[in-house]
Amino acid sequence: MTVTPDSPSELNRRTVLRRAAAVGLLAAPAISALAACASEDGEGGTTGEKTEANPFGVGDKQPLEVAFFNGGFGEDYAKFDVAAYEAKWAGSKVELKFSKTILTDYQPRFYGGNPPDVLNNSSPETIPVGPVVQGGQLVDLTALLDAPSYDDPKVKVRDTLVAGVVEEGTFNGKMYTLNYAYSIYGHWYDEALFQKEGWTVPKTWEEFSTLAEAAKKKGIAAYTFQGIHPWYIHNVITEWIYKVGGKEAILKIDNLEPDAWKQDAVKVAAERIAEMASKGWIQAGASGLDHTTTQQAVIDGKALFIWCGSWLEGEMAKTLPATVKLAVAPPWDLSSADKAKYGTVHAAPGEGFIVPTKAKNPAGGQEFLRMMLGKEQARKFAELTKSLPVVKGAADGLTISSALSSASKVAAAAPEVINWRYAGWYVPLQNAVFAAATELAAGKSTPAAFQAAVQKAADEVAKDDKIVKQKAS
Amino acid sequence: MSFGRARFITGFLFAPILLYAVYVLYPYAQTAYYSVTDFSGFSPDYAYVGFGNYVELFADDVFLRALGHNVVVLTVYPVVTILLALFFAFMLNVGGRGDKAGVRGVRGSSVYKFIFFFPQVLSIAIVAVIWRRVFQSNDGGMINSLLMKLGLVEKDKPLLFLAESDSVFPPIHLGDFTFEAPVVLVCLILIAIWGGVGFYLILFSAAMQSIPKDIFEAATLDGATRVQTFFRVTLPLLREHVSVAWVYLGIAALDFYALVVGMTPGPGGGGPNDASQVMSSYMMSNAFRPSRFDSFAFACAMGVSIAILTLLFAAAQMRLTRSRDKLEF
Repeated sequence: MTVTPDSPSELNRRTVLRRAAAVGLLAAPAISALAACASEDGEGGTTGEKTEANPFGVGDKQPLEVAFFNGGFGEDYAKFDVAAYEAKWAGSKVELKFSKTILTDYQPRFYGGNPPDVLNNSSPETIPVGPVVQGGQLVDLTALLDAPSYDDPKVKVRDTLVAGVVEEGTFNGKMYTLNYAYSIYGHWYDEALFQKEGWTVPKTWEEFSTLAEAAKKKGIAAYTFQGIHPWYIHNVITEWIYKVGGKEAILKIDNLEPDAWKQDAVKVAAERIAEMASKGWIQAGASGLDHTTTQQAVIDGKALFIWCGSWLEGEMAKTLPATVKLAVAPPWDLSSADKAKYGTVHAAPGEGFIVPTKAKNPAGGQEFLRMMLGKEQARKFAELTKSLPVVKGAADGLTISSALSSASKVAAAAPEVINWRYAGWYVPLQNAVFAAATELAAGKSTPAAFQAAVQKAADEVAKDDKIVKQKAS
Repeated sequence: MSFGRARFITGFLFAPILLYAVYVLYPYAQTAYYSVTDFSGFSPDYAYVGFGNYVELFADDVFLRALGHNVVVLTVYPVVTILLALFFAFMLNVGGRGDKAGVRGVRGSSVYKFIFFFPQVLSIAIVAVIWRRVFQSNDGGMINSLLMKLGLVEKDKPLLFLAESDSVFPPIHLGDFTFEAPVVLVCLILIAIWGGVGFYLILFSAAMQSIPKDIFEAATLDGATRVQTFFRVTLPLLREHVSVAWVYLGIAALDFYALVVGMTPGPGGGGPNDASQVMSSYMMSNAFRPSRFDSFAFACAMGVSIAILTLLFAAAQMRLTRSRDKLEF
């Protein structure tokens, strides 16, 4: 392993500053003298004095470079954030860049040692956090969490965030990624169709079975999934495993415990998917279709349920007629002895932001993120993107869309909000679930084969000492 | 005089050689170097690890499967493409009825040439979009809807095509090595043939046109049939062109990256369940969807292996088909 910090002195200086910030000695003269010293060694230096209003010591007229992902959330909120930063730090020129392929565009800049100050690490291909943290190339954002929040200096940033943000961004025990958008996942359906047919949303497997047979008689598939993008079906099965086996079952999986995928919860979840496939409840040919085709099948009334995130309505806006009313339902009970109660919802922060250590202005980078977490900017994000930010109460009182209100309502009523970690930590394991779950839903495999294939991948990951292991709790 | 000429030539060659060195040779050398390190692709700090990456590579299930898929492509794609291209080229140039006008192609041959060459001008992205529609796995797919109308396929059991991982023949196991031809791979080969025939048709046409007509006329006068003319006259005279085509197609078969990534399921293509994974697509998914901190170096080892296999193939091919006696006409 080559875990080499940039240079010993560099590390010490940072550690000192970070600890100082953490203990709240921000305004102490000694520290500001230190911060002032720091400005002299160009790389990664800060030039301003650290105060309560300027917790990272952003220097006057320091240029800032921010790179955003140009995807489903669009460009507008980024432009708003940049304008806000430039207004607050007068004279600081912000260079705003957009990319559709973050990894391709920014990998060379990490390697070359001149990364941007803030990077929106999102897209189909992201910079993998593991190798970059190994090389000491990301700023530990603990200082940001402990800094005073933008709106109220008495409240720390940490306390303005919804639950799960710190955990989701943590690697090797420290938070390196700030996930900004909060997505709620579940089974989406067309409420209008259900009303017309007099159907109700199932709460148990029996109710679902009855509904599925009724729908089949009308030529409607009860279920569909985004076939060629296996990320979706891997979420369905993991969510169902959690539903049946509770947090305990998921922790075994996250922590790569021996035979974690041989648990009964995994067996039940896999059997349910196999049952749907064998009884013809899944849209025919779904495993070869893409996400828009299958999502459109639900909108067109050809399928009843599809698992997706709260971005679904925005994604399908162009082909969504006004007569269709998308709503979300939590997973129904899969057995009579599910450990997680009915109503349990899967929700997780996403859309990561990172600050590279070798950036020219990491202090400005962290300040930029602190401002994004302010009330006004978070609210604007909700308005512009029709998605929830991770800031508590940011979208309160906003009527954004019926689908998002439905998602928020389900999340608010949830007895438990769930998430898991293995997928982000261990790519080969996630890939194995991708392949095996798709085969299962396509009716080409059996629950036992699913369990065996995934367990094999989990064992290989567990014994591969080149994959850095994480601990979930 | 000769000194001036050398300077003149050097002057012209300097820029291309410099570009070649910077953008081709240097990256090759770099890749080879990284393949014996634990380079992550992100940090400039890395260590030499010897040939460990190569040892792991040839014990990697998916890589061996991908290699097997490349072998399938390599055996089918060049042969079928060359045979079709030769046949069409022959028909278009000398396959027409022999009459007073002498040797000529079938009627409407220029139209056919245009049609056959057309796929060549489409970018691979467009080819992928078109063929995804053709192979779509529900009643919206061209082939499926046709078969459903004919009553050959049930509406709730469409053919999966690109999402079908079953092999068209029972998989053959040779130790760790599995030899199989999943349906998805066969679909990709069909698309590649569709796209490739036009180019080689033009190549062979040009070669045939450079053969003096009197040779064909002499063959006709001696009473040779079209089949005889093809095998006794045309093919031997095209030997070198066929050999070149074989090398090109072989290299394309060992690559096959764009079709796999553009058309098959899964992140970065290669699905379902690695049924269409080829060496190059697996290399890319290792380089850019890493889990181990050194997977970039691992991917470099794959790149070097692919390059060596390709060079060996080309060398063997050249040796096998080297023309013994060159014909002048």
